[in-house]
Amino acid sequence: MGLRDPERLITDVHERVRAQYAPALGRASDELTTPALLLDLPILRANLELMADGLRDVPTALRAHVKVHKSPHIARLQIERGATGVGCATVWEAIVMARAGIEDVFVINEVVGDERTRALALLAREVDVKTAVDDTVQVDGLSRAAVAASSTIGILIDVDEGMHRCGVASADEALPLARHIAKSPGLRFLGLTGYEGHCSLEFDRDKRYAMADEAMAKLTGIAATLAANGLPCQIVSAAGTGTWEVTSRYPGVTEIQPGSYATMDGHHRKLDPRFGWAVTVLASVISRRPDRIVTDAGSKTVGASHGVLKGWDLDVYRFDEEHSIFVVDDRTSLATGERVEILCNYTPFAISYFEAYHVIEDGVVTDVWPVMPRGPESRWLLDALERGE
Amino acid sequence: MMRDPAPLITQAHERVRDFHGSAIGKSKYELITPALVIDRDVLVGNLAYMQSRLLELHARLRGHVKNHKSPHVARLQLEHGAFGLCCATVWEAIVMVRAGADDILIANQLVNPGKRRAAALLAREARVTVNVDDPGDAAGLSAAAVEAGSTLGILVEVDTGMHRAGVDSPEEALAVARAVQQLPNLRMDGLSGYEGHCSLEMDHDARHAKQEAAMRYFVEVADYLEANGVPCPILSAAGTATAFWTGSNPRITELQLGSYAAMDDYHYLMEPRFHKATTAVVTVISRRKDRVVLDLGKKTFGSAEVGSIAAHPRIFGHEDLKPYRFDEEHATYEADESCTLKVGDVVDFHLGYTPFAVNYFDAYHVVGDGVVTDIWPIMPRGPLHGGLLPALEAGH
Repeated sequence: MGLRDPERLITDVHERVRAQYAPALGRASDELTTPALLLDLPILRANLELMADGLRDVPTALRAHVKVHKSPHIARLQIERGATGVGCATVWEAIVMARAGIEDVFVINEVVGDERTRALALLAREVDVKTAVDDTVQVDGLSRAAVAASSTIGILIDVDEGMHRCGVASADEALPLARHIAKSPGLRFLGLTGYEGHCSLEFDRDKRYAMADEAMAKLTGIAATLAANGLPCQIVSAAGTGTWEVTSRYPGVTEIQPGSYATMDGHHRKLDPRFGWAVTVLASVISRRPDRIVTDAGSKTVGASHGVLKGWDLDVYRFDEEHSIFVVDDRTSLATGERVEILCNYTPFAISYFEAYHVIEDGVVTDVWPVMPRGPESRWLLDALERGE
Repeated sequence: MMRDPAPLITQAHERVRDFHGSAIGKSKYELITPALVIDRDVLVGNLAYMQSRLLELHARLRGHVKNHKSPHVARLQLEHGAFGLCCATVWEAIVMVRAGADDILIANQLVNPGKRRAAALLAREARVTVNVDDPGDAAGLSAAAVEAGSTLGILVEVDTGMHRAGVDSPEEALAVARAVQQLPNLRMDGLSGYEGHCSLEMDHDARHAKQEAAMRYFVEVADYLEANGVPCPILSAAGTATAFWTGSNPRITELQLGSYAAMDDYHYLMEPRFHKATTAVVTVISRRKDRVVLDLGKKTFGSAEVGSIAAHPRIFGHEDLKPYRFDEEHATYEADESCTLKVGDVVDFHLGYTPFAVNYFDAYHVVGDGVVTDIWPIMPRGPLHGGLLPALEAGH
């Protein structure tokens, strides 16, 4: 699978955000209007390089998850550095990534509802589209949509490996579902997907890797049962940034689906500190009191009620919607008007609020990249797809 | 007074009607989910109730917009008794002036040079007032206003117990106020003292006691300034959870509440006289033996941390289901076989605390009797200025 040129849907938005934030181009990051989402491009590139190196000696493919960064530009860099395709959480992300030039998109989520299944089926006329199921209701909806669109959608059964979200719980549940998929028109049974997300909540590496092995034993065991019953799994997909290394080496796993490794955050750096912190939120100190400072980036900006000020060892006093407040004393020299960078514990929430990244190289803004798609509901992307745009 | 909305607003309205317009006339249960829904009748009911209560209150109403971020809701606030609007950011202020408002308080410190310039440019078109708690910030605002040829109103922010921004003592308030008086193109208007810490107190009597203490101190600071020759014609305070108490204080001149309009589960716990107008519609995407999974999560309704005080996100008609876990794109609830929810069901959803959800969506689906009648844009979206500053500098 290759990489085509990005289409108008992407280039128009890129041009729009570059125009809106044109005064920032060429400026040092400490001259920007705040809050701003900063992307350190050399650190991002080093992260992609590190992942490519880590997978050099194993046959396992890399499917880069894009829900973390929601950036057509970052996704293209991931493909250029060895990813064979992308993983998405929503069909709207899948449409954006296909328009970004990516030819293999996997919506690693249950797709339910006429308009969402129609969007996926229409997209499958243009690129290789896959999705996950755990119920015949989803299978039947996808089959009807694919037949109506004259397309074929690749189907992977979602296996609950211990995360307790979606997913079938056993081979007994997977086998009849796989048989149902195999005889459904418009669908192609491809294998299994199982994100061991519960492991990423365990910070002890040895315990985490043991949990991941246990999860993979379950996943590959179900794959073996299906194969023994005449339903071989061409794809067995799993892993996140906390387990990519151990899971990529588990026999029978054909691809890994991490995403946070590219941009990183506090949570994932506790799991794998080899990857660098590429995304931060730039803020200004807007009030200095004797015992605290107040910045202009609150929970509506960082998407959480916590964060760390880069270069400062300060406790959080409170996060309000438009303010973050940190405890200081006389030894803290921060004054009203100074810029600070907030390191988020979990960046996807911050990114989903912003419309664009300020791309930083050597401390200077060199580009502005759109965040796409923004927000949860994207009927316009379906309309664009139906119009053939 | 209210002007007609400018092209910035009408074009955004047309754009979201173009994006989501095929939903108009449909039942809300036919929407692509998750969708943000606002019930216009409930909204107008809240606004009319507040307007009726203003007759007995001494203070005037300045409608806050940060929780709904809607030019349409803001205009309805102005039509129902609000004399002006209140914003958290200068970008919200630009949008609301373009929506037709002519009197805006940015109840926040600006500090950042781009934000000061934006406020100063906006003050050429409307009455713009800003909070300050630092003489250096006041000097920066003054310089921006001189450059723009405008005048900015200034309220000295007093920390009445919330411990965010704001001066800490009457003496500090006087020093900042005198600095403001001496700076060109600034108008020293009075004090701002939002008692937001009271809205974190769920107990009615304890909240009232905190509110009284906060406003007693706030008035003392005003008395001190006036005794020292600095008049304070404006004393601005209150949120939805303290509006009727603070509004009855004869010294408070304006109230800056916002949640009363669209409401949410969190504020309903404290002020049940207003009703919830903003909800979501969601789909069950997975049904396991012991749980159900919905197609929205923390990216949509926010961290759910404020709402953890019994106002957490819940499913309508299934309010007793216990949350199992909230992930980015999923909300999972414990549900045994007695729960009738199944894959594909489209249901109403209580968002808990709505400002986070509003910040994430691009539009409201406006409903009446469960049918979509219009699409209203959410403006501005997210933390960036979205081109509002260059547009203002270019004169449109």
